[in-house]
Amino acid sequence: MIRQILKIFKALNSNEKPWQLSLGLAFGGIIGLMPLWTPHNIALLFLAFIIQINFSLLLLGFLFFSGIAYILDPLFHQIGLAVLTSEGMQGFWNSFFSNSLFIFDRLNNTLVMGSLIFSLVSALPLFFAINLLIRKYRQHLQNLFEKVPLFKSLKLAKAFDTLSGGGS
Amino acid sequence: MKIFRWQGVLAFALIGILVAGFLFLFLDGMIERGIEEEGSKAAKTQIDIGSLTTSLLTQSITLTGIEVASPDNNMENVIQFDSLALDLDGTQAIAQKIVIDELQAQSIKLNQKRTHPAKTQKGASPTQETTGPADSGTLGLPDLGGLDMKSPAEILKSEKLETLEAGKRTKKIIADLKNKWEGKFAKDLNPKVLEETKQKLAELQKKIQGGGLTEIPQALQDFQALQKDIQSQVDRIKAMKSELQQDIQLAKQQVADLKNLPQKDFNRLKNKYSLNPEGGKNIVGALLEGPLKEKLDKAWKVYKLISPYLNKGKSPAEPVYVRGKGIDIAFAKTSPDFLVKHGNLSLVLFDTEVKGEIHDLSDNQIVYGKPAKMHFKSDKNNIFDSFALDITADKTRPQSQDTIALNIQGLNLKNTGQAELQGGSANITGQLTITDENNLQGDFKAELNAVALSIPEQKGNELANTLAQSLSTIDRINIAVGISGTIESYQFDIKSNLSDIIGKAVKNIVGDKMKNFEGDLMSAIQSQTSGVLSGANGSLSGLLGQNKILNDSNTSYSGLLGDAPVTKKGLPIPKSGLALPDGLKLPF
Repeated sequence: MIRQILKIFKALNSNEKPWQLSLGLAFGGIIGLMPLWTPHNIALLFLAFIIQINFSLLLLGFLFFSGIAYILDPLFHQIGLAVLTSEGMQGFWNSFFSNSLFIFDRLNNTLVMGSLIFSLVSALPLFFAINLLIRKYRQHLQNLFEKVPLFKSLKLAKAFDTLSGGGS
Repeated sequence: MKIFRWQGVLAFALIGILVAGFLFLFLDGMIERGIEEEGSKAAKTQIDIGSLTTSLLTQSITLTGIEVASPDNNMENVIQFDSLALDLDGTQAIAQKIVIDELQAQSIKLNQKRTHPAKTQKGASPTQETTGPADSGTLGLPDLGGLDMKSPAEILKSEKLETLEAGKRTKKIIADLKNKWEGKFAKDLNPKVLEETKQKLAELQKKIQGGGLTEIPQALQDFQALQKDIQSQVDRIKAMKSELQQDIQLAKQQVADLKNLPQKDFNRLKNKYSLNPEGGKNIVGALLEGPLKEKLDKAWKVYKLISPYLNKGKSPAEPVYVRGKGIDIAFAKTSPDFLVKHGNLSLVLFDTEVKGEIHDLSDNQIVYGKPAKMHFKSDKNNIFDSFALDITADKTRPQSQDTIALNIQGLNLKNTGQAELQGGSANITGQLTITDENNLQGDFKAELNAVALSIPEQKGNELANTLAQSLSTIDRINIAVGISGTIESYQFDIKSNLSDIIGKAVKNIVGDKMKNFEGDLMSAIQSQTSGVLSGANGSLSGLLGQNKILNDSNTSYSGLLGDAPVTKKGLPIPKSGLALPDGLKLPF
């Protein structure tokens, strides 16, 4: 746990570009909000593997947003149900789902469709907001934070963790 | 700075290989457990699979040792297959559809004994545990135990008496009529109205006696109006009386009809349960009905279990939202979710193999547009000269129609597994139609030729031994079985030449028994129906009581009419005499 927190701090204070961190968190958010075993989630994971994004933040985003997804589950269902059963879109959906690939992707499921819409809509603002926060952090707080005793003690703890055999 | 890290592809591929390796090692076991667990839950009976092998390259699955336990008997399998090989259409799996291009089912056996008892599934009705041999599913004469007569008490437990039903109906009709008349009386014969009318009349009389000349024209008008009211009330009461008489007649007729019903019930039950061969239901019927019903009830259970899965087009399951799962919205379907295009089957019947084929078995025939067909055929072998079984499940239209047609020629009775049948052959033909998955209509005929029956002697059972003796002389038996009704409640119409033969043989033996049986049956019916009959009579008395109310009202109003007579010219004549002031004469 300590190592994970340190990793995040390390990433925040590293030379990694802010977009790499915020994109990692946004990817984690999308994957976490959607049901895990869907083909487009696996495709997203593949992208996360090949794009230079921060994996610690992806993991953090995934864990955090998985919890959010559990809470928002009924909302996702309602969004998906509204979109998939909308009177005016029935013609479109009928031709859309005549392609087996979309059925395979389970987009006809209210939860998958609802969470996909929600995560895609919220991913962009999340990406830009995190990006801005990282810039602000690095600009104003990074040096200050390094001097905070807690941060120092975290570093000591990491050293202890390493010495006691639990470290990387 | 580079945007992509290409080594990520390697990492991803590595994870993919690990997952594929895991699936390669454990997929078969996972599917096998999935079918056993989920299939057992869905079928509410235990499903066992000996082994399961998948091949992703050939897109096929092979299962061996499939056993589906009977929901009613945990020591019996409803159906079992030695092996089942499925060639799947992999491209359809992407759209979450199971399309089987070719199916091979080897050694299908029905009603076989299990080696170990099946577990009772959640939500299933408790099963009966038996260690006895499983029913072989063959045809033949049942035990002579079938001739045991049921006691009247047992009969009345399982039979509905028309008297009781009609008695309840009659009581309700009379109660409704009584309520109707009580309502009418409360509305139209309100005692307050009668009192008010009396009061009005008295006031008018007082007015005339004590009033001046000027008030006479007004009083005259009031008297005329009151008289009109009373007359109309009397007319209404007369009309009501006539209507009540009609209702009473109706009720009396119902009660009179009831009195004949116990005799009708007696005749019906006597014909059905008596061993009298002249009865509506013959001895062969009594012998065959039980075993036939048992077999058919088993078949209906399986039919009802399977039917919903083959008719999803008619009644698609209503999706229910489950947290974490959502619901799948079904858009316009162009193909069924489950389809077996063609299959080769081999059924083991009377210990011989019958080859068959299955075509177009789908879960949504309305979308697929073709009925499911199964056909078994066998040429001459040591069991029969020919065998043909055609099953069609047509659910392409809103009203489904399923048919079973059977044609067995030259069935060797010696090999049917019935100890009593020592020889002979049988021709069995017939067809059963199930409309709307509920209504049955079927006729089957069995012609048994050169029959050699050998029924072991039963010590002390004179009836059984006499029958056995009579049957041993028979070499030709015709049995016709008609089935009609619904799956829940169906009737047999069984006719056979055996009835006369056996009937004559038992007539002397069972004569006294029959007399006692009939006497007991009549007493039992009378004791069960006496309450209803007396209840109906009581209700009728209550209705007749309404007549008195109407008569009393009629008398009262007619009396009032007498109290307010009017002269020919319309002048009221009070009871106490004309009360005009002294010395005055009316001008008309």
